Amino acid sequence: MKSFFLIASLSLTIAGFSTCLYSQKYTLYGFIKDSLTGENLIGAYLMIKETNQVVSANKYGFYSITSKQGNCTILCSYVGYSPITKKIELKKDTKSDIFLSPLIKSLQEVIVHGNKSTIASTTVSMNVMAIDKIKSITSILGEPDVLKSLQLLPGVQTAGEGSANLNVRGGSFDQNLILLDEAPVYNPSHTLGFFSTFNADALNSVTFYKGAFPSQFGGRLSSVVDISMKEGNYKKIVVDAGIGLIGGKATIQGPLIKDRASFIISGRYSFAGQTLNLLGLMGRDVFHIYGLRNFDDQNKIRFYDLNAKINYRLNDNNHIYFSTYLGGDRFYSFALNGDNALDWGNITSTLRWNHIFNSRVFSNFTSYFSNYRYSYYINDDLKNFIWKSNIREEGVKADFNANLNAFNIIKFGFASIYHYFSPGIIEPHSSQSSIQAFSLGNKRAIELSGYLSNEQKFSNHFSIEYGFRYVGLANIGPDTVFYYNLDKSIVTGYKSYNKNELVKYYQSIEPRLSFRYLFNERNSVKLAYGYTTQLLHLLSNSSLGLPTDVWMPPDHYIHPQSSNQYVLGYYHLFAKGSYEFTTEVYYKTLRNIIDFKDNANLFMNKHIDNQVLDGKGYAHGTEFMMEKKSGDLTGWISYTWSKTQYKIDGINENTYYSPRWDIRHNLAITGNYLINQNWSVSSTFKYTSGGFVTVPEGSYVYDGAAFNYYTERNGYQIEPYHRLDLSFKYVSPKNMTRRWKSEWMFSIYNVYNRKNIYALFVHQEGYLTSSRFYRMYLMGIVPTLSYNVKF
Amino acid sequence: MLCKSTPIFTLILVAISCQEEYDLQLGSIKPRLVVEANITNQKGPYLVRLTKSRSQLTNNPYKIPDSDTAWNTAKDFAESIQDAEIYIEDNTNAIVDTLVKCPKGHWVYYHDTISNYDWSYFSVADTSILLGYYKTTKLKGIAGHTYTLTIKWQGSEYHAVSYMPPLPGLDSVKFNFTKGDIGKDDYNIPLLYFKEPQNERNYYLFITPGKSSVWPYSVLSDEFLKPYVNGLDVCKGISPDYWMTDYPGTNMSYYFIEMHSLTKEGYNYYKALLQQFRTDGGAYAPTPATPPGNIDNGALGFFKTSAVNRVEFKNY
Repeated sequence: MKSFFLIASLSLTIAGFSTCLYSQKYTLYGFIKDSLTGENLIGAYLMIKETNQVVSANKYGFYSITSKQGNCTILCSYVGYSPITKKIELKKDTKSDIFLSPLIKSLQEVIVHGNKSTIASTTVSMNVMAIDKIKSITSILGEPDVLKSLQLLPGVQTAGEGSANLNVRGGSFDQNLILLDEAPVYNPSHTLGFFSTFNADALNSVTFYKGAFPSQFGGRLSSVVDISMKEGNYKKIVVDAGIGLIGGKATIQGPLIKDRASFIISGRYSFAGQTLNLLGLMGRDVFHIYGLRNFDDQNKIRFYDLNAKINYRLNDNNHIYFSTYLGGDRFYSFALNGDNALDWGNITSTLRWNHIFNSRVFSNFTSYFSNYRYSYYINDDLKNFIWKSNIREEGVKADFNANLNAFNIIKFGFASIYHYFSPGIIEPHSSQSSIQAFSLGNKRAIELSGYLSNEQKFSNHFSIEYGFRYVGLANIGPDTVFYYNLDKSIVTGYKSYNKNELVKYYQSIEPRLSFRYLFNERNSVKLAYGYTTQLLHLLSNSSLGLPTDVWMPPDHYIHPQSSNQYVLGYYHLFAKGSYEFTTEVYYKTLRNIIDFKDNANLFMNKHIDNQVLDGKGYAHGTEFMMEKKSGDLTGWISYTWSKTQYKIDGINENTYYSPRWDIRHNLAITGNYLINQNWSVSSTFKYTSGGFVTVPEGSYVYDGAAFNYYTERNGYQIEPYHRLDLSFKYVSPKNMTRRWKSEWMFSIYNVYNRKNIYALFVHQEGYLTSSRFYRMYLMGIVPTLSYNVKF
Repeated sequence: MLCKSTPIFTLILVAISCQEEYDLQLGSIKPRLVVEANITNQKGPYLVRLTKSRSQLTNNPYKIPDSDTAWNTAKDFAESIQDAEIYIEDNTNAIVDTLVKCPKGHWVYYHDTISNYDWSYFSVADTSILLGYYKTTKLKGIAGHTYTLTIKWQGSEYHAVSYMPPLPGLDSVKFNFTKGDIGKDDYNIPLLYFKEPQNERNYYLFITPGKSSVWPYSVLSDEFLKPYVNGLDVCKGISPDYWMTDYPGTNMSYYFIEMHSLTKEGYNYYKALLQQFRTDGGAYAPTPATPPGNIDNGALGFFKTSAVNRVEFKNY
């Protein structure tokens, strides 16, 4: 199967090459940008009316379209901007930068051609969300959130309330590749998942791929979240600032050299812990609320984010960007995790160079660094220790995008990445601690990958994108590999490797294929297939994901995971492009997925690889989405019906069972309505079936106390989850006439205060022979007020 | 419905996270054999208790019919098994002991002088066969030996094999005086001093008397212990919610500490039991599972063989 694809893609590429030499075709290329700020419009749509050729601007706002047509009428548009029509004479390769102006809301509804890019694209299961769309969705505590907005799309579940983790099409939350300006971010959550690490003020847009992704993406099985930061206003200095109940943020951006170089610095600081302490103390001492009588005011919950970027356009063909992100968290909550404190943070930095070789060939060279570290403190008197862990990735990538001719667009690239894992080091925190220093072995690996794909246009209606990706990973020493007996309970031996000695090499070839048939410019059908492998695993013994989860490279016992995904989709635009209807059906097979065996011991375990069992699984589902993209009311309804099952020998008596994120029904409705010039309201309603949890079959008495025993894993479905959020935004009328623009936002999370189950567990109660079921629910109704300014 | 609430991120006072009781009905199931067997190197006889599992979690009093007219309620509400055959063999010296049922109890007679009436009632012993207890007759527990347990009940056979690990001697126990929090008594933290063998993996179980609502056990693995253990607080291994530990007060008439040796299976079993006390939020806790016993054929419980050091304190 794989070699067939290899031969097919090579031969079609050669065929494409041979036709290009003998025709009079010229290329129109350039950048599509915002006319007011100079920012790139990622995914902007450009069409040559006469030939129906369509292209989208890439991550850097660059487009390149080759055509035989001499006199072209170009249509260019992007959601939220006024479209432009231009006449260009294409008698030679022509550079034409296009500047679009943001739509002024008081204008009438305009035909938005930009929506057609989803219909025309050969990529399935892809959503591009510009930052304005994300900001218009209500979210917890008034803070717009990229990952929370993605949770409203079909096919995206989340295992628990408040979590920023995504479960995409039945995949676990470690199967998402989250990129910030090309650097992977390992833990995109602040404060145990209530917020993500992405400050919306610093971002341009997010492109989200849910499956069968194009060849340039790999490394994770379920999704790619490609986040691009803003470049910084090229024309004037702009400051945005905001303050809310749990924190404040500020962004400053502006030109360094007008229209050529700019910068953006954006920071966020949250003092949620102080607010919580203050309110809890008020509740306990001033209002004497019974439930708060034991409130402990030592909660420390704080986080910060800092995004900084500068870029410089050397000349028409070269542009350099440097971006960096720093973030950190400290979490100690009396209610949630008692005597332990968690501390974690990410640093990423990326240096990129865009080089335009000629009108047809665009290239990007990236060098990046990503480091994620976490520490876990136990605040016991005599068992006082710190557990530290980190994962680091340094890589260089080269990506090329070349228009061979009017019918073939070739993409290829290479990457070389160095991975470093430090799964855990324990250090005593004080001299009285009875704990000895101890360290789990560090691991190193080198990854090499390459991809090649061609998007071939057979006719005005039919296009195919085909290609493959090659990935190789070498685990290198120093390392010690342990060997176990058959049921992995005893260590039978071990082998040590020296520095840089090869421990094991893994490789795979991943074919990707996608067909698109365009009925007309308003509807299309697509069929896609992709085979993906994931080399890294996140070992997490909790269904929600904690910062203390361990990232591991593959080894003799934990093999790389893989998945085959098949997607069929139908896409339709209504009413001059203002409504878009999408439906997709997917089927996914999973191999070498892991789960923990019963009573697994993960904490500082040298033999962590014998605590997991591997097996197979499948996931399938049907997704629907209807979106209204323009007008005073915008928003969408999405509905997914899906099922995921795992089968791992040694778990659940070797039969199929549901992972925690097997959520059968998922409905999300979100809308934003502009009441008038100053007021707007937005609302989100979410309804999902309950997930599956493990409950006891019964109990027994041992040594004077009662204990529970279990037979099925995740055999009990909890009740459905639903909630409604509402938020009102007031934009001061004085904003029209003054430089200082202010807005107030009042939002309510969980308007009707539904107690959605967050956790279901059994707890010993008072007497040793009595235990009861408890359910924990997290967020009741949460109102917030925040104030933002821009000048 | 008691609501223990904690505010998280509130504007006014309203957002609370809450834990409340949840009425979940479990289906009825076929009860399973539960074994509590404990062989030590102390003087015998040793006890084995057999009971049945049940499909409810909350206490549901189980009345034990006694041999005569009075009914008593089993203290821990477990339904006893009184018709099983139990054999324990010492593999090292091939002695096989057939266990006998413990006595049911005894009649208590007293004369009430005020009403001039003779009262009598049947008092069920703490280790009565009516509660499921059986005892050995001749077996001796010796450190370093391996024992096999065989149970025959209702047509099925259950087996377990367990080794009794030797135990290092306790050099001394000292008490660390600690001032109590405001409104609470001062107390002494018992600290153990002993030499820890480093060349092998050892596991220990500690028992100290506690409040009636606290399970008095804690386990410790020697992974992070130094070669000489300089003052180990017995409750600092894995124990039930530690703030419930009942440390001895400053005026104590009686206190004891027991240190048991455990095999790796014993450590994993008690660790899983203790884990069930500490569960206070399913989301951030591992998936719950049955504590891993060492008895085959689906029996619950554990066959424990330990060497014991016991230190008693009187009127200190």
